[in-house]
Amino acid sequence: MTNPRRSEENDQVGSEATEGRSRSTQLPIVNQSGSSRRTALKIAGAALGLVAFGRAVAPMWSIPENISIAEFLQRHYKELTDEDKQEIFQRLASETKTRYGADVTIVDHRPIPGVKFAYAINLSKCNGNGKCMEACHRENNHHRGTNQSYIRVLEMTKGSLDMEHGTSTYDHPTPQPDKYYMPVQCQQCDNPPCVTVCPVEATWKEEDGIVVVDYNWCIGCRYCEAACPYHARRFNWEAVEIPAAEINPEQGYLSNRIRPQGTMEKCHFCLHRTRQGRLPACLEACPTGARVFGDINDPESSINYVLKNKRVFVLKEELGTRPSFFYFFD
Amino acid sequence: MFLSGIVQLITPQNSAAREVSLPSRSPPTVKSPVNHATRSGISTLTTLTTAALVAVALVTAWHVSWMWDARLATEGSGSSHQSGATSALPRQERRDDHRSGDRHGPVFPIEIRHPQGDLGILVSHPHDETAVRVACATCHATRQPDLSNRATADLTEFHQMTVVDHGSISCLSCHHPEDYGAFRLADGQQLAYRDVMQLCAQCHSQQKRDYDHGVHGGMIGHWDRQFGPQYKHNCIDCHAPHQPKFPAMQATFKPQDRFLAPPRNSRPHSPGH
Ligand code: HEC
Ligand code: HEC
Ligand code: HEC
Ligand code: HEC
Repeated sequence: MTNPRRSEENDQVGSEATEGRSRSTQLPIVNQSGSSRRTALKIAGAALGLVAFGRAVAPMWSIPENISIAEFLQRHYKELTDEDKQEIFQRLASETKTRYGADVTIVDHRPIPGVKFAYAINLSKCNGNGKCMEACHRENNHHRGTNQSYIRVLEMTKGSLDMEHGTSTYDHPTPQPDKYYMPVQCQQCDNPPCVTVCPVEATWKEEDGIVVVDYNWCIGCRYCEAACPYHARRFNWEAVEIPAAEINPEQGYLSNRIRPQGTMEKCHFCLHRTRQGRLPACLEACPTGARVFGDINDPESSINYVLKNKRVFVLKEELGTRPSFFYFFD
Repeated sequence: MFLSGIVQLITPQNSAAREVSLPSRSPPTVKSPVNHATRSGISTLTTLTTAALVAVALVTAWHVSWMWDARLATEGSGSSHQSGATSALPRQERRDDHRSGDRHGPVFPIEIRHPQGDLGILVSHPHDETAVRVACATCHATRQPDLSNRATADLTEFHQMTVVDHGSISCLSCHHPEDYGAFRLADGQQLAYRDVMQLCAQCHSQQKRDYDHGVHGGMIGHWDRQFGPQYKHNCIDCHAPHQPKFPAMQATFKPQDRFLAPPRNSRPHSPGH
């Protein structure tokens, strides 16, 4: 029986995990005070039964390759002091330099006081051209191998609002007369199921409404992926490969820095841009002008104009997730 | 006529579009339903370059930001917005209550791309075939306007390649018969080429209203103009005035999606679906 708990004890790191990899024995045993990661896993493991649990966390077995000791010793984001952060960001930047050959700066962007973000998409305008997916891919340093993107543009049959019946694989000129197009990304729910299920609190909602992930804290169990009704979370199955010249060097710790393999990620409303007053990359890239973004606390914002003047709806309202993401038709 | 050797008509290029490198729409002469290549939309790269380029210009010009604010506000009302006006800054006051620090300056402008220069057509020179820009007045200064020329089908001598598919409005509901370098508003007033958005706005007020609220036509730059400016396209950057329907596109980027079926190899598809 393989032990999936990569950190429990040195000698028990699963054999599958170490196959062909060199890091079998270097993993330190740490007894972090206040740490809940391992305990959470233990409890979850007991509740589930080890076989089921092993399957659930299977992706973890491929992680250790790119985990450094320093990363392993790192405390939870919320417990970090500013100095801790500086140290960590420098370490991550230098790791990026070593692994990818790119000079990057990693910054901890904090919410703008008083601002709460919301997004809206005009489905009468969107024509499914997919430029938003591509912009996201480039802006957020996604793995080139899979064209990963936080956005999925669905081709929908007119008359249906059920995103489960949409397809993202269409390959023809758009818009087709009997179709409409619906981009789906993280809806930044006010009642986010993904946050509730995370066993280690590696994902949480910040004051400006953005649900973030600490990629260094995430254990890759993928509960959140299963919990998200919008299929908005993405798992890094493969180690991220990007040519140095294509790496976006303006990075945020909780946003577009290069994610380690085996961690979960999701749309963060480009917080490294939006918390500096800039527009998200997908919005700027939209050739049809279908996307509207802004501060819902500002009565004069574009987003409030939409909420007041258009008939907006949210996806899967019945689930009570209370998205900060709206859709409308003219 | 001296231009009898014209063999080719090209759409006038909006020189301003090059300067700020906002995406230009495809020439109206391109009739293919799929022209995603020519009509590249707003690529992120252009966006970033644009932002960088224009930012420099704007830092120097940012003290005029109040002017710009006022200008956007007046744009829809038909008043000339060439001249500046001082304005109160309600937006900025509102911001102050939740932004501490020294960001008490004015908000940055909203900059709309406007066509520059004169309306004209590019024709190829009869002798060496280089493109020459010809102002409308070159011919029309000496021609009586012919009010019976309402649509392309009425034209027998010239402009027959100008295909207009825009409701059933006549050429002269937009072009000014006394000055073909300008436009004509419904009340007969003359409107400069630069201000063409007002022409669109008088018939499409709903879209203009949405546009003014940032809900039609997209934008680049900052959602919060305390941090920096916002750039917007002109109506005619997205809608060719003669054929305003937004053209069809083809998605070129497909994530490999585990959740849904994987994308087919993107083979160029025949547009004749
Ligand atoms: C090379 C000379 C030439 C130039 C330059 C030219 N036109 Fe014309 N235009 C004509 C001629 C000739 C006609 C009459 C066509 C017909 O009756 O078949 C015409 C007709 C028109 C008409 C139809 C109404 C009318 O008076 O007949 C409009 C509108 C028009 N032109 C607009 C323009 C605009 C706008 C420009 C500049 C962008 C322009 N033209 C530049 C020669 C020209
Ligand atoms: C909806 C208003 C509208 C109508 C109707 C209209 N035009 Fe235009 N036309 C414009 C605008 C706006 C431009 C400037 C285009 C640009 O800057 O890209 C223009 C440009 C032109 C030009 C110069 C560039 C080009 O595209 O060829 C000619 C010539 C012209 N129009 C002729 C005509 C003729 C002839 C008709 C009638 C058959 C007509 N227009 C109908 C709005 C209109
Ligand atoms: C004189 C009035 C008038 C002016 C000026 C005018 N339009 Fe139109 N426009 C119309 C009419 C009429 C229609 C057709 C509406 C319909 O078919 O229901 C239309 C349709 C449109 C459409 C929808 C086209 C489609 O097939 O989906 C767009 C986009 C548009 N106009 C953009 C513009 C732009 C941009 C300008 C400014 C260059 C402009 N219009 C100026 C009257 C006008
Ligand atoms: C970023 C590109 C863009 C800009 C800029 C833009 N539009 Fe549009 N517009 C669209 C798209 C996309 C549609 C929907 C597709 C269509 O109907 O052709 C549309 C639709 C329209 C329509 C058809 C009715 C509707 O709402 O669907 C009108 C009229 C129109 N626009 C007018 C304008 C006017 C006036 C302006 C300038 C104030 C403007 N547009 C600026 C992209 C743009």
